[in-house]
Amino acid sequence: MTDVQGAPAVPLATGGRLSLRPSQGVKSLSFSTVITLILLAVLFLLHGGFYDSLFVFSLTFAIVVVGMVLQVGYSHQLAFHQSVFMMAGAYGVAILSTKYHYPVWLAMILVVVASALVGLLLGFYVTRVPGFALALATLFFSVIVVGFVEYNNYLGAQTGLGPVPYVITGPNYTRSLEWSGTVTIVLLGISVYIVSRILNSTIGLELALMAGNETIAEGVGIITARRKLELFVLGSAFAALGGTLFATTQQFVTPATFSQVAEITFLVMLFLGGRTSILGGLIGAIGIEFLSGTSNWISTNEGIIEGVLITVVLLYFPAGLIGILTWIWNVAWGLISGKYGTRSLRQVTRQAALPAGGLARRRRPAAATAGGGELADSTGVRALPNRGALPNGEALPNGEALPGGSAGAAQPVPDGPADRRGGELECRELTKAFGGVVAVDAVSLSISGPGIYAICGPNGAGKTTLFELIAGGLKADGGEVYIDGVNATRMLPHERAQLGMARTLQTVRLMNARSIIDNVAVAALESHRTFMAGALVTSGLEEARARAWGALERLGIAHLAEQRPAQLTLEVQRTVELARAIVAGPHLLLLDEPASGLSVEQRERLSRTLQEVAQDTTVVLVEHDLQMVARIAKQIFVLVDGRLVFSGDPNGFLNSDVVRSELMGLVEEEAILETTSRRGAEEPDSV
Amino acid sequence: MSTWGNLTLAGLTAGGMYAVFALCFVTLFRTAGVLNLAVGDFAMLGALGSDYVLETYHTGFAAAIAISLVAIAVFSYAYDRVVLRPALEGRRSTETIVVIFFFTFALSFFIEGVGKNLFGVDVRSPPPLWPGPALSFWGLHLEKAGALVMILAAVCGIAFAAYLRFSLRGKALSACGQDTFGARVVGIRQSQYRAGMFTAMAVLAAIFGIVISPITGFVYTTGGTLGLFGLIGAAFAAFNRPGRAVIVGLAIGLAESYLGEFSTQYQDTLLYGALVAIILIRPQILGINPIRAA
Repeated sequence: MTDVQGAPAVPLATGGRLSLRPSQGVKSLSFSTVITLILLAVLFLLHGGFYDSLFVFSLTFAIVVVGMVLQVGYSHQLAFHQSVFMMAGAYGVAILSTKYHYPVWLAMILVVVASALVGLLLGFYVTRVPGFALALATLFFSVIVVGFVEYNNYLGAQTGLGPVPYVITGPNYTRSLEWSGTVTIVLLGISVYIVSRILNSTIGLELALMAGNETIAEGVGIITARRKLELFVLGSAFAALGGTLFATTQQFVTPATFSQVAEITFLVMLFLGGRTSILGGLIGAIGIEFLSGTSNWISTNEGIIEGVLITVVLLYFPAGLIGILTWIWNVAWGLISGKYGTRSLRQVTRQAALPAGGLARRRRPAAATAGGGELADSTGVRALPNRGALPNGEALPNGEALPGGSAGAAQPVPDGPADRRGGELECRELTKAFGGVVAVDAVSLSISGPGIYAICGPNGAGKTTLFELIAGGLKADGGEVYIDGVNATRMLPHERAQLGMARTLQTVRLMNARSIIDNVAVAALESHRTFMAGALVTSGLEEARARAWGALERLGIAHLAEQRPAQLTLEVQRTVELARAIVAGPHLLLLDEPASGLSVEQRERLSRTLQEVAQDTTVVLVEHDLQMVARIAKQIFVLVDGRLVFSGDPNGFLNSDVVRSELMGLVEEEAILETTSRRGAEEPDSV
Repeated sequence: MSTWGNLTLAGLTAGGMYAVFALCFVTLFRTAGVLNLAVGDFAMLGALGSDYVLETYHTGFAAAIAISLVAIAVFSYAYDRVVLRPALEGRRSTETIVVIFFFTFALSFFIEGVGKNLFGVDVRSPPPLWPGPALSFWGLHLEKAGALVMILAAVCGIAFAAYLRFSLRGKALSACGQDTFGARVVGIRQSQYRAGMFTAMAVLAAIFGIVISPITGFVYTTGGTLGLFGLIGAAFAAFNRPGRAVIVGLAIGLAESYLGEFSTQYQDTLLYGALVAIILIRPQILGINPIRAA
């Protein structure tokens, strides 16, 4: 088997070059190994004594912070349970080893597993609580638990428990500390590997989308509740591991160590170091603990210094200290290689906020960035040649090869399970009320087969409410929704997505820190239904990017694959959203006001794009542009005051008395506007 | 009877403190979309600052209060200009409330750090505003400072609720908090309003710190703890209902007082446990989500 150039064929997604590059697994392993070796070197250079003890102490905090990088920094799941689980880990080991004489290593394993299980049970309920309530509730966990332990004599009350044996006891204090420190560093290295592997996997991409917008994440099929639970369990396990190591290296545990102050300290470490970077988290944790322990001045003025530093970092260096270090590194590298001065500190700190290990440099194809953020051609629907912008093997943001750089290599958007017959949607007596206002009143409609179907109506008619009832964003008070004959009324949005439905939102929601191709690839991942642990053994990112490439080519924007959304026009951003919606090959595509904010010419391009997409997909759109709807829709439904007042084809729509009486003013007004806009475009000099 | 009566009065006194802090949270969030986590620290700064000026420069008590309040007003206004303005209106304006939240978190660290260095680590308090023995009636005893707290809480609660609901300027302020862009479009100077409200709430908290200090005594970390109860009170008032914030603050104070009768050791544990349970069981009681609202 050979490709068109006669070279041995390789998987399409690799662009023929991936085999020469290290996989993400190897990169994560290398990164964690380097971190481990550096920390081991520091440990043995310090060689016992106060500084060594302080260093090991800071490493136990670093494990907790590494977990927080994943949960809080990267995924924006604001839960403050870490200090409580660290306390559970420390006290668990202290109790088992001092009261029941378990070997320390066995106690550590038991405690971490038990903590993960408790995290699972607690998280099963807690993670379903909405964002702010979760943050507020967990903020007081440590107050409750510490308040209980402080007066519990079995747990040593305020004096605590100890002495806890070292995990490996040496011939003297220095050796015991060094050996226990070595175990701590190895376990920290494993933690770094796990988090790095997750961040750079398909799950990392899912988490990035979740952090930006959960509705969209659920709309592409991600089971957000499961991901939140997994993050909570992982965060609990990392914190407990840090706690067990704290107990075995410090030998005494007291409740005061794990008060609310500890939780705040973790957050300070995370934000100062760089909240989305593992290396940043490590620098924050080790740096702050080590410096405040070694300098009396810093210790005395800790509050002032932390307050000023956090403010300055948040205001000017959003990527934290790691962003500043990255900038220094790049300047130094630029000076050596003679390329200094091409990028500002701000650009670098923003880029450093991406989840890679920290100081990794990225290549960007020059031709791709010169694309200007516009659609490839006037129609925006034809799959264009690559225009040489992305030659075979160019690097994607994560360092992998681009899919299909050579002729005809792009993978087509999959047809999906519906074999180009479109989908079926049926609403039966669908009803939704908000207080005394009935937004959707017993609406019944039926849609079948490929084509464009439009839902119209004046403002406040209930269009978006109906759309959300179909998409699963709102729960119906009455009635039923059937997708492809399956009763989906009680299904969650991700379950509806798995039936073959996709959606967009009224406002553009893209991941600004990710490339266009990743923004689309996230909807094509196979990992939506897998557990997070699966990310450690498989990736699937390359396949998803290949499919994303196909979708981008189909919509004529493949040449912009490497760009970031913020660099693009609204029209292109909406096209990217459309690509994300079609990449998984849905039968049913729900679009909420896709023409909103677009000019007349852009709407015409969008119309042609939608008509092309609708050749094999059932497209349902909510839209205010009645002219556009009348031109492209196969069937139109009109809602007024939550009730369906019209259903029919465009001819019937334009001639219907009901429509004329309810919407005529709008039709006339839009026709005038369009005519005026066209004249303006044809006569640019006229005022 | 007198025991429960005194517990109730003690609860209302503590609740009055929480109510005013909750009020500060609600008013600022409703009008400026900012959660000021340092509001309790401004109370500490007011109490210990006036005491510090009085003892160090031997001014009269009224002058000490005036100097510390002016200093707090200048500092909070400058903070808004230097930090909050670029954070909320500059290139960081697209950032989530999670980050914005951390600005006032950092402010709290800073104020506590300054307090530790300037005022030391001992519990202190300025002289009471209303000196003399406790009020006694029907076998009940009420500290005069406690009476002031309750009066202040009630007056502030009613005044803020009425101001925001009925006055034109109050409605304009609410509009700023609800829709910054919309407020700007119709000509409301949102930036000025926010700076004014941020300063006003800091000064109000400082005044309140001076009022309550004879009851609580202050150390540099006291404000943070008091502010937390205020945050809960505000959260239960959905961050937009001043009247409800006062009621919730009073209820928390009463619950704390009654629980103290059963167990002084686990008083806070039980109280926080109950509050957390309510949040987890009925999260919708919090109303809006400030994270999403931003």
